[in-house]
Amino acid sequence: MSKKSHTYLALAGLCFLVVAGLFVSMWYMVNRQGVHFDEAKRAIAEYAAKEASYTKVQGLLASTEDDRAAIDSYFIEEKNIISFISDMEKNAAVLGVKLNTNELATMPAGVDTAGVAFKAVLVIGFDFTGTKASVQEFISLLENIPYQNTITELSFTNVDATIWKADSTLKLTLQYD
Amino acid sequence: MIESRDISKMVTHIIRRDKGIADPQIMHPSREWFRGLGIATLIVVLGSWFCLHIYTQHLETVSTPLSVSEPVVPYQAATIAEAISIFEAKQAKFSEILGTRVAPVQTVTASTTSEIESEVETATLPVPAVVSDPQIEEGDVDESESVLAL
Repeated sequence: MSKKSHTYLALAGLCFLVVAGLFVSMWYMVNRQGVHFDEAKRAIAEYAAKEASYTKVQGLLASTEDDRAAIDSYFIEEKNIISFISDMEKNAAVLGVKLNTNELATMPAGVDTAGVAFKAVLVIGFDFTGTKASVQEFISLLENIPYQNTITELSFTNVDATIWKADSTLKLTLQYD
Repeated sequence: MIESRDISKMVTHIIRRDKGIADPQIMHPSREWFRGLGIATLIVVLGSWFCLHIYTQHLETVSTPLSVSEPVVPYQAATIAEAISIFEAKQAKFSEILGTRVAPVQTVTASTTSEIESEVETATLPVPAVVSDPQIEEGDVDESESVLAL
């Protein structure tokens, strides 16, 4: 081959190498951009999912506002304890029962010995006297207090022929946030 | 006179001449041009195929929506409805025992509350002795309105 042919061959080889290098670098860039695109697409999809979830929760909160208010009202608030006792005193008087509050305490939320979590409760002890019918009626009233509660203790004593005495302990679940 | 030595020289010359330069070693411009053109075409075809492959791959990525699991918001509507109905029944029974149908608990309106208070004013009893509880702060207690229906 002549010297000129060698020069052309060298130039052709150089051009080939340059073009091949450009091609490989472009291929690498395309792949890298593809990875970035995938990441961005995933991030957008996750954001959209979270936004949809947020909208759903907002809708749920709005649509269940009344229900939640109703449920909240079935848990006594700590600030209403005295009013509640006062109301029970008045109710007892309406039913012809003499009511005395002998215990009042709050138990903070915790976990019992069986490992079951419980909410903060208000413990109220009542003893009340009256006729058998009025005492029974008042017990029925206690059973139907429109608050989340449990009667943990209840006992009757026949004081005399007409007067009955009952002791009870109630646990009312306190309202929580 | 031609001697055998001259004859062998002539034969050697002829043989050497016939050997000459091998054909592949000789430059044929048209052949080399078409060879180069063929290689270039092959590179272009392979490159195009590769580019098309990458393009199709990313086109599928673009058009395929990602399935991201949406977090589920748990809300036990049936349980809530059941709880509300149970408490409404208790509320009704409570009112029934007291001989009134006034709705109990804090949800009562201010006007209803005042009516309730006026109805029971006749049955006022002394405030019971309350066992003091250190956990209940003085400011936490609100005695301003009745919390139960009568």
